[in-house]
Amino acid sequence: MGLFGSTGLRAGVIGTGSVAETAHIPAYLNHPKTTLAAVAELDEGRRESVVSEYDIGSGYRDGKQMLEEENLDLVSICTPAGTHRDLFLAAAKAGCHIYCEKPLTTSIESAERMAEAAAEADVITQIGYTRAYVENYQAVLAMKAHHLLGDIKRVRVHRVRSPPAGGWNFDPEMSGGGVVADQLGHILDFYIRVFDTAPDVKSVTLERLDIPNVEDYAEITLEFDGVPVELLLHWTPYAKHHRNLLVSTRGLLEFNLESLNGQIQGETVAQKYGKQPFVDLRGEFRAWWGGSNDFHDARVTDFIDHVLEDNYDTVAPIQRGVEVTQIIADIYNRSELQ
Amino acid sequence: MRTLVTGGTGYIGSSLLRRFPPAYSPVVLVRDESRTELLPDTVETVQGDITDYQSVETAMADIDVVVHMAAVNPGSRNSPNITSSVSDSVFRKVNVQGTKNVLDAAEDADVDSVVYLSTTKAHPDVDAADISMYVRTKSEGGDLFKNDEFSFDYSIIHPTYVMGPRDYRLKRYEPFRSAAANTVLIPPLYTPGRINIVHVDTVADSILYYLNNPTNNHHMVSGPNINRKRFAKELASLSSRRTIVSDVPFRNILLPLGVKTIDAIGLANVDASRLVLDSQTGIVPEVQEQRAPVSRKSWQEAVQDTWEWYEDVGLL
Repeated sequence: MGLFGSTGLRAGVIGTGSVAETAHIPAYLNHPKTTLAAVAELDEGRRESVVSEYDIGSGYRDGKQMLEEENLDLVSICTPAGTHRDLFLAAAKAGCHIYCEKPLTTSIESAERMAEAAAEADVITQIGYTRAYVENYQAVLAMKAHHLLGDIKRVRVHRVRSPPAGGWNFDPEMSGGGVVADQLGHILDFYIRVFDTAPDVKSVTLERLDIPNVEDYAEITLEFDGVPVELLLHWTPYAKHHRNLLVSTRGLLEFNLESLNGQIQGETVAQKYGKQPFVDLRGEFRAWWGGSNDFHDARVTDFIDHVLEDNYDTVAPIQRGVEVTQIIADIYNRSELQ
Repeated sequence: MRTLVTGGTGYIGSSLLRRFPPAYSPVVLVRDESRTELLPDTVETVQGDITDYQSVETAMADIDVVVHMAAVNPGSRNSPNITSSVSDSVFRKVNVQGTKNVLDAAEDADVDSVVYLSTTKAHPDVDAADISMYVRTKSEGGDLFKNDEFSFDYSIIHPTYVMGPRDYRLKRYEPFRSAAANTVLIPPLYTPGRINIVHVDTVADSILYYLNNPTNNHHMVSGPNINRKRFAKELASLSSRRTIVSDVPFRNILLPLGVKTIDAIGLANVDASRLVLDSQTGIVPEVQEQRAPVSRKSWQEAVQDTWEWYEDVGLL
């Protein structure tokens, strides 16, 4: 019998949209030491189908009510960003350890209040930045840590994708902004790891091209310890382009969630999902077999393991969320939306 | 015992500096452009360059013994100024004149013992046909010990092909990646021939041994001469896949011919010169196999440790 008894930790999920169903619900169901006790979901049809499909103990309309009644050990908040603050405060008050999806919230004041509440309630927190769990990004961090890259001179990040399916992203009250609020958290979190420092915001251009209420196009230049990191973020229907180009004194790496390619000190780097090819005829022909990302499961499982070990030092605790929220706020403050 | 170390940021240096017993205080001679981030955090450094006598003389103050490893070698990736090709004059300036500076300064400072790191083909027992500029200048550097009358004792160490962790310059990476990235390993995906692999820790421990027990002679530090197919099989066994290693019959005729044909008819742009089909690396006479004055780590361990390091740094 473990620390938390034979039934393990009681987990709850607030909001049962795509990220809950991809990452949180399966992780709680699959972890040997958690029970998915309850979910909360506004939409009745959705709630009923999730509860019955995954055989979850109970379903609530109201997340706060679930927190009051279910005596949960941990909870995932997977609702629109504009609702995070109140749910987070309620979860902290209930003594729940909290995994909160990104964007953390819609203002720096809210983020700071959430950090205070987590500290007062003494709960373990993690914010849903994913890159630290993605093999290609982990490899880049390992190469950097082992001095294989030399000095990084310049970074370019392109993230072009279809607008998110959840309509709330286009309502600034709920989302805190457009493509920047949606995408920048992951990128900032990763490059803060790479450079081990927070960036200065050097220039910002935000545009509303096809979406009326929030920006769907952004060009941003950040500087980490004097190294420029240029970002282009865009929501384009039917488009999918994701690229990090990292130029250093000892080589060049180009990577995204799927692949990592480049040359370091004249040697080839060619990986997909952290795997080598199954055939590589000296670069003339290269092929992979299978492979996929399982970082969603990894990040929630890692959070559960931290809770089991009473370890507050998660990959991205609430303080990281505050740091990222502050930078995003700076970017919106600097911009003159066109 | 204060030990001046030149070449401390090199492959062997990085391991050596982590293996000094507490009785030693190593001091590493570093240039402006040296990659000091590769040194252990607590190690003492002194600014200087072996091609600048004055700086070596200054660095030699209060030094008891010297490990001289600094050199340029082909494809040296030690400095932004020294890229893929090294001119003859640079070889001579660093490997010969630089060594002379170290020895003269060691003599002036009245040190007890000097260990000089040389290379396989510069050992008197190795009958090497094609002598590169690197081997020639390393050899001439070693000759200085005998030609000049120095009052200190010395040992000249000749390691074979060194493997183990901390290959920061990735000079050994290619065969490892090739083995990790191919389910079937046939030439030229691995290079046929022979190789003599020695663990970097064995080389480091041998250096420490000869610092204390100088012989005024040459010493090979080596593993067994092995067929490169065995090396490839060892790599394959470390791969997460069930990699098959196979020799190709008539590889000396059919394969190069096939490759040249593919290139000639324009199917793929293959550079036949990249297909080294028989490579002898670090091979020593039988009598010089498996030599070290300390307990040796096996060549398999050297390969495994190298593999694990490449995994740790995100490359495999």
